[in-house]
Amino acid sequence: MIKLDIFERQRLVFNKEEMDKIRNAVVLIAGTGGLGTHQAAELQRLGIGKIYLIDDDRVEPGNLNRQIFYGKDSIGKYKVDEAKSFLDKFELETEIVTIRERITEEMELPSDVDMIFDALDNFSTRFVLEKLALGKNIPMVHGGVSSWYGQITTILPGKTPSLQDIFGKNPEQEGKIPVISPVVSVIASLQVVEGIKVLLQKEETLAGKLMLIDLNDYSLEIIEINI
Amino acid sequence: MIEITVNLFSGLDKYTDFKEKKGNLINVQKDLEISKLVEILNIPPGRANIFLVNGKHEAKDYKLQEGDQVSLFPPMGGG
Repeated sequence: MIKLDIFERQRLVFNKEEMDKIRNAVVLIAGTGGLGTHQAAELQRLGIGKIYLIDDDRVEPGNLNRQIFYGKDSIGKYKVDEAKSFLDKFELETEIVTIRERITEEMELPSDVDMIFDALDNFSTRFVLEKLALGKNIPMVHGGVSSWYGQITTILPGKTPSLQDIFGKNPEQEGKIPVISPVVSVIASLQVVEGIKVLLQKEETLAGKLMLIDLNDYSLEIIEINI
Repeated sequence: MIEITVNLFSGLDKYTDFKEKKGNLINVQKDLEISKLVEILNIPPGRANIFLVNGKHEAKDYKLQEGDQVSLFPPMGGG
């Protein structure tokens, strides 16, 4: 059987050592909503070795404007099951593993995770996720979205300020958060770019910095964070 | 009076007369709390909840000092 070379173009960007790191990497996406579905699609195309998807929610009609793995026939089904089914159809080389569980302080993260992508939709669960990441010494790429805007930072355990150092103890938004697919897609893609750079130990990352993305005026601002 | 620099991100600049998002120099009373600064800037209640002063998170009762670099933005928690 002829082996298909699906990474022909990618090898023009990454050297062999970097390609091997990507192929052997294990990432965990916390939340398979808007950010999580976009991230999973990108990470699968990059050929990440294994992706864990964590979510205990079922698909609702209000998810369909941005959560790109789900259609009307997904409503009422578990998101992680639908997400895995969608991704597995492509028969690419990434193993997709689902964890249908609520993120709590008591949960045990898989032992082989190299990096966590925050794709959650509220800060209280993000703080729990960050605690789990810090406990296992796993880097975490945070992203959040509202309307035309978003933010990204990378938390390196013991090296950078935490989410609470940046956002305070109670940064929740009141009411339903406005979200549209193209903005979610940009933020999720930037998180994946950042995650790959952290994985490959590139110098220019958002560790200890907060990037604020404004798609209303197309500006990116980076603020150095002090504690 | 003291001079501070105000940076408004993620759409907050539209509430003010500032022509730029970053580097706006203004004079305010020493020890003015950030919550009062938000009022002076005409930013509606609840829109600016995250305050970084010289790159460090501060609460709304932080008292502003000469030369402070104040960045204000709303929480963006969706996903």
